[in-house]
Amino acid sequence: MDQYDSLVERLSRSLAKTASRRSVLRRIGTILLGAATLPLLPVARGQAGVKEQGDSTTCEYWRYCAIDGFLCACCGGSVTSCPPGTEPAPITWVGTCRNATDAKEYIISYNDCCGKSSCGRCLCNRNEGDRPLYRPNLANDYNWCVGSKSNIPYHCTVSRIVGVADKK
Amino acid sequence: MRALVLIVALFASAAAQADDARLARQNYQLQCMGCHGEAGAGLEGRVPSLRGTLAKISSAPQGRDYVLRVPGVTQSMLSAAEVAAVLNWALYEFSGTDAARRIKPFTAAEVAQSRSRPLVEVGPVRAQVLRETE
Repeated sequence: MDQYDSLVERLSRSLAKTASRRSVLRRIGTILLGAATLPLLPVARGQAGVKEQGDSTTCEYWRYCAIDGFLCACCGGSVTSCPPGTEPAPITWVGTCRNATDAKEYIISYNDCCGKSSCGRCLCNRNEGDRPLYRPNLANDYNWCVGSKSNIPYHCTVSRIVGVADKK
Repeated sequence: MRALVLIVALFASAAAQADDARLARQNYQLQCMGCHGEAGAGLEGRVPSLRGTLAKISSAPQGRDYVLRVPGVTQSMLSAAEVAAVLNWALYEFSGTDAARRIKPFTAAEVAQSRSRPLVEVGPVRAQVLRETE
């Protein structure tokens, strides 16, 4: 920490010798303003801003690349919400899917909806990225309702975007 | 002018740190979040919470040893360096800056070494560590 302090001190003194206060403030202000306004640029971010295409009641829908279960969009719910009378299991499995519309990889949380017997409509089993059961956090064959509060029955699965997988 | 270049370099260094944090968050989301949850709250009676407890447990030598030997660490598909980065990110994310600052950052060497000593009985060891760090 002392080394950092002395580095900053040396930089500040050196800068003070070579530049006027106003010019320094102007340059720093430009950097800070630029950094502050960057997030305001019109790019899609978060789930609300994601541009996507396709029919969410078919297995081919991009978010379902790693799903194994009934689509809640066919069962009275939606891609992201459980049907009435069911609740999302707190334990989920997580995968990544590529959105062809914006060519980005998204982190998708597959939450089982629990509380009613199996929906029975739109069974999808795509399994991209699925791993054997001994990798539980990467295996989609588990019924995650077993991990919920009261071991209530599995009904269907929702697919929530929780982030962008843009780092490697 | 040289000073300005150095200040910009400091900004770049801060940006690189932010990048590292984003990678750690992404790895947490892909490898840990399914059980521990987005907010690290876990599931009472089934999955341990990370909120507050991670820094508290890590503050004692036996607790630090426990953290490094839990299944999520020893069986992770991430590299040792990536696991260490996730642990250090989680300290700040779930225990707050003040508590996290007091913890010596986890290292890749520690994670690599702990992989040969996985915990078998996780629950009782956690309970004991929590009692001892009260």
